[in-house]
Amino acid sequence: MLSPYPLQEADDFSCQFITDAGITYHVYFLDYSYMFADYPGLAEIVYSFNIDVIDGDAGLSAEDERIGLTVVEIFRIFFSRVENVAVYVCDSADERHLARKRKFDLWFWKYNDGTIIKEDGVAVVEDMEILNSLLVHRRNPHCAEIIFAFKDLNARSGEK
Amino acid sequence: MKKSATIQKPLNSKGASIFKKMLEDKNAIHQHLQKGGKLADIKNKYRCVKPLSTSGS
Repeated sequence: MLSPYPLQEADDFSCQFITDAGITYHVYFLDYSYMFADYPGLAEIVYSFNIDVIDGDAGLSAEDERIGLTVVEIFRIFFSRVENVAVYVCDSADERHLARKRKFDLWFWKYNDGTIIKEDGVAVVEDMEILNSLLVHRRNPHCAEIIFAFKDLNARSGEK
Repeated sequence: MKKSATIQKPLNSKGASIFKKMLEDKNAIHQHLQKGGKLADIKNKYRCVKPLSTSGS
């Protein structure tokens, strides 16, 4: 049976794991609590989630199921505090943002046991579209308001 | 009456600046890490936090 890769402390603010193919993934969160500052009553703990290949060719790991399991394990720990909220954006610099989104979607639908709600958005920024997603625990007391605020931030100015 | 031709620019999302900043942060940190830097070096600039413990939970 497959298991997640062991998580190691990279430094005081991040962790990492190394795959069987020798690829090092760095995982870290940034505080984006101000994200919902304009929505009264939503002083939530919001983090941006980031996963980055630091060493090795990520193309070699396309079929590595253990990477998805490891990311799921990270979120299992993250959501042990049900008030935590995660948002991530798919990097579009190399035009592979759709592939990244599909990979995250696959992991989510494959491994989510129903406790986490995922909401997808597309933010329009000048002439660019930024694919982004929200992850919130079903038992978060402000779950509905957070999803509403997230959708509202993705809506275009002037839209209702 | 003569109609003036206007170019319709797409409207930005309400949270455009937030998502743009998120992407910029991600790319800047990627560059930093690729050069061997640590998050601890830039923790204040990018509000680095660690909401999970890998030492067991």
